Amino acid sequence: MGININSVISFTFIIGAALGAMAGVMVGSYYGIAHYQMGFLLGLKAFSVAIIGGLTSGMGVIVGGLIIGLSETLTGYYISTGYKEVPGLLLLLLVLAIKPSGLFGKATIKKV
Amino acid sequence: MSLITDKKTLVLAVLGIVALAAFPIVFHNPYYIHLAETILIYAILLFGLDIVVGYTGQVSLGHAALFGIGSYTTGVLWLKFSLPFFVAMPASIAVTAVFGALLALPALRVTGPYLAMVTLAFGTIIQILINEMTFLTQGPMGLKVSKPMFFGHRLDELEFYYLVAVIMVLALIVVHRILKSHLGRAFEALRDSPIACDCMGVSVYRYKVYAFVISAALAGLAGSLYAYSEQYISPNTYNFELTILFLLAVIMGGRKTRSGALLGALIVVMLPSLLADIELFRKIATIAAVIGVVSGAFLLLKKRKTVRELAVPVIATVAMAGFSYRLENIIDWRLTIFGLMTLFVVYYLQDGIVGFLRSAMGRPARTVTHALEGAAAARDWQAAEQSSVTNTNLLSAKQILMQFGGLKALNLVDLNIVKGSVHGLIGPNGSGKSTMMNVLTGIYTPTAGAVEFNGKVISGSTPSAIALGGVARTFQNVQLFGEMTATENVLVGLHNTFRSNIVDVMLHTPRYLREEQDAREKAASILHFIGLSALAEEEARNLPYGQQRVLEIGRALGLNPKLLLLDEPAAGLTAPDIKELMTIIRKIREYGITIILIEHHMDVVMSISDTVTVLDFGQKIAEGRPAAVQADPAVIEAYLGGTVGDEADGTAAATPT
Repeated sequence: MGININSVISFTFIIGAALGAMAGVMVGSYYGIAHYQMGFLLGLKAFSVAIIGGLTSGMGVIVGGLIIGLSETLTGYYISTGYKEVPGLLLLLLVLAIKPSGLFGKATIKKV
Repeated sequence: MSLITDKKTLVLAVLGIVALAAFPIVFHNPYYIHLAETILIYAILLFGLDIVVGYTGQVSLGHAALFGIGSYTTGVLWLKFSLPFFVAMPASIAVTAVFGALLALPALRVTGPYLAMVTLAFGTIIQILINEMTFLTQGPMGLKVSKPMFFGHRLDELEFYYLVAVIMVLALIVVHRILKSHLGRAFEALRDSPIACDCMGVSVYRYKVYAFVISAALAGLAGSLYAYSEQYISPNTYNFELTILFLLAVIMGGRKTRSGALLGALIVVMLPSLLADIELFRKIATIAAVIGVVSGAFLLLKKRKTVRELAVPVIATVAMAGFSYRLENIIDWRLTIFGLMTLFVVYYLQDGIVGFLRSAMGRPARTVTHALEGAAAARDWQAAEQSSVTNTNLLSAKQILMQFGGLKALNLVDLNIVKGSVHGLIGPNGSGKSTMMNVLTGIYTPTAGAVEFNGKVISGSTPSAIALGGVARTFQNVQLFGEMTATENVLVGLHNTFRSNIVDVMLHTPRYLREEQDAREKAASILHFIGLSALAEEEARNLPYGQQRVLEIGRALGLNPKLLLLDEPAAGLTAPDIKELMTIIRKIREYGITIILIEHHMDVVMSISDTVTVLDFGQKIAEGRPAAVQADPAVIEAYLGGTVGDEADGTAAATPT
């Protein structure tokens, strides 16, 4: 259709990287520290958020973010800070095991 | 397997065992013995990881965690209850296997990068739990474990080495036997085509869980041995880097081989120490450069690669060697070099080092010997006795409605298939033929309506249950198990003939050996029947297109079906191929197998069908004898859009482009 696939794919990566950088600046200035491995756990969490909310849904990402953020803080407060990542990750496993398209995502039909 | 390969394997096996036994006698240094021990332990884990990664084609970033679970089960049992080795080790295997089953649950729903993330999340959770559950694991402080005791005698380093070596050899034999059996073939089949796998009566669901459980059990065994070997375990060992290291080892060594797993273990354990010594590194880099240049020249001479393809890897190895002599301090560069080597292997040696060596040396001459065996087993394939009662309906679909969103792909269609007949199903593109096929084989559950087969309602059952009930199919877009040989493809179809369980396979009981022998004979006769005996040992993906289509039919025959669904078997075939195909279909029919045939080649459909059903826009517009259907005005309109043409026109127009 005259659309350059390579440039579109590159562009999505550019947007993704720019948004990631924005989040990175905020996290960095909030904690006052930057570290070469700081992104690893954060990336895993971002992925959990996207999956739980549903990959194709903007609303889903916001709700997913809230769920993960709240579960982390509440676990940290009531149980132990050591465990704070566990509920979010468990939720990720649960969502993928039960409804891989996420809370707000659309299921796709497989074709043969 | 042929005698020659058996002898070769035997010699290699004896050499390997001698090397294992002689190692501590040659190297007295306890440090080296401990290193060797670690390699063997890693190898056990890698055998398991290879089942998941190499055979079923899934990704797992959770194996370090499974390894950790194995270690900690042993550690905790020893610390809290002082349980002996022969209790703690099986307990480790059992506990880890349970976690493997848990990990398999999300793996059933997702694949690819999602699965990578799932297993990574699993690994992270386990590491956090080990760290935080101080009452059980002593948290970051770690645990101390003593070497196992037998009859009041505590093993020393050397004795423990022999224990590990024996267990490794046993694990190797067991894993090898499992992977060479029908279980291993099921694993490979579900990697290459999950849908075809289900339609051959091999439940993808069940075999994915099996693969993860077996893999986890091996990780648990390795973890347990590791705890005894190190005598101290702490949560930090079982981190993300270890899991990456394991994956690397499998990829570098070569997936789908046991020698690859051993080699991979050797590399990941030895490499850090090798990279610490600059003199040694220079030597290795030089050797690698020489190998690179020689094998490059070899491949160029044999005209298997072009200069352009070879330029980068050859230059890279030479540059690495040059670089090694310029280096002053290797410690700072260790990670970078390791990373570069990894990148190189993953990019250029995707089949791993073992795979590379195999392809460089050329394939062993097994093709020839097996072709002969196939000819010897020229007993023609016989379908099981079908009941001779005809004129009853073998399958009847009633008022099938299949809705995708607002689209009615099938709108209240009735279909009755008479036992022993060939039933043609035709219609323009998008008329719902393939949807009907998928409803009949259980891939889709109809929105409304029911399918009855042999007097039982089958709509709503799983594809594998329907397949085992006697409905076999082929696919419009060929869905063979590409990396498996023609024989193995048919053997997957014959999976239903096996009653042996995993214990039979591990011990090679007479029952398993007999079943395997029978299945192989049957596969040979099926291949003979479809005329592929000469290509029995060729990988399916290397077969010419026409023969791939025929092989799909052969694989379906393995199920010993009562009903065979052929989805456009003649699509893309040349005229002589079509003639051969029609002979095969006629022969199958003579055995009393009922056939549903979807086809665009009108001459094929019209000449072999007893009854023809025409679909258009999800509705049945005509049904009857071929000649009557061809003359039906509604059919002509559907195909030609209103023009009333003669038979020749209809044939030409109906052939898809």
